[in-house]
Amino acid sequence: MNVDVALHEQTEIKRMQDGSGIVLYSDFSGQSAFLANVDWDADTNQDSLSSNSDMSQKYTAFDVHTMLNLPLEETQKIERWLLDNHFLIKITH
Amino acid sequence: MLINTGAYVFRLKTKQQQILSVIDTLYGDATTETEAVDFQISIRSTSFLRRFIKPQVSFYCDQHTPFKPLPASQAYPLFEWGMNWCIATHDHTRLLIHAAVLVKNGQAIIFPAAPGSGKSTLTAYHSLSGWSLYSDEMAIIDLETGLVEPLYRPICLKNDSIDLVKSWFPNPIFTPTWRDTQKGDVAHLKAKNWSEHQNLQPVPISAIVFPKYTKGHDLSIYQLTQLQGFESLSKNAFNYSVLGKTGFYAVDKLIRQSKLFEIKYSNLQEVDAFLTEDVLL
Repeated sequence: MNVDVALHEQTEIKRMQDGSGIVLYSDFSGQSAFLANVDWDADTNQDSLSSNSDMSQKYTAFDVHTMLNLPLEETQKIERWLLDNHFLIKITH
Repeated sequence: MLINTGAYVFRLKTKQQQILSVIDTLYGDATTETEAVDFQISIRSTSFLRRFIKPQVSFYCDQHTPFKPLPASQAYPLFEWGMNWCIATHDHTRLLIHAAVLVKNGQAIIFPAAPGSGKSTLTAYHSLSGWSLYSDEMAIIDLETGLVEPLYRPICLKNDSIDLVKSWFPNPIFTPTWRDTQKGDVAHLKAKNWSEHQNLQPVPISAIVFPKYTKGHDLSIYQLTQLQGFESLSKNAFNYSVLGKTGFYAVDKLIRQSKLFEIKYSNLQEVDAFLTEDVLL
């Protein structure tokens, strides 16, 4: 059994044009999250989930570990926060 | 009586005679063509006893009173703060940002800032030096067009800035100074008249500048990234979270179209030169 982390269905992402990062908005929790020095390409991430799961039509992969160039412990803390605040969701398949 | 602030009309009921003459000075020239009002407000004594012993008044919007009673001598500042509260907590058809708005050459610059940043002093100086005052307290932004609308309200000056602005511009109309309010000493400045206000149109925002007054500091200019600007602006919006996804899109649109700066300053002439020569196109 595999577990993917994906964007929650009610999360929107805006990529800053100057490359300074991305802003996530959760319409589920009403919160925003600001991730500096991170780029985002929805098409690439869609592909990465579709290779692993039948859920690709519904969910978009969001791999914090690849996106953030931070120590593992810090990355896990950010991922946990994003999951707790409903920006992300775990997909089991 | 009706109070027309341009974007909003208030119907005020009060027996506090001391504020009526001040309201007439600041808003008396703002005519209204309609009897339709946005907010029904009143300033009332808190009890029969409090009319005579240490008199106190409360602000009401309909039957709701959002603030603790204040001494009757502070009825006018309470009235202004009450109007701010009405707008900030009820109008969710626009994006409302805690910011001053100044316009020159048809371009708006908004100045979101925390209390104590010198925002109102900056606003007073510029509005009496060739810029059009759109707002001292909140930027009212149309969600569809992104244009910022003018508001017919005075500038609220506090503490040392009252005498400072009077020394620069002795002629404009100031209210009396109300001492020892919760924000310190407070006075209001009428920086434009109704006929000037009527000529103002909604305009696009070309820059967002976060100001910070620092005594004796030469002008320092920091260009913000879009991510920094997005985070700071959303935190200064009264109704960002209430608007939900609509607010998220509106802030994103604003960030993409605007130059973004943070400035530290003590000399307003330097700020004026920077805004005019470097920020405006």
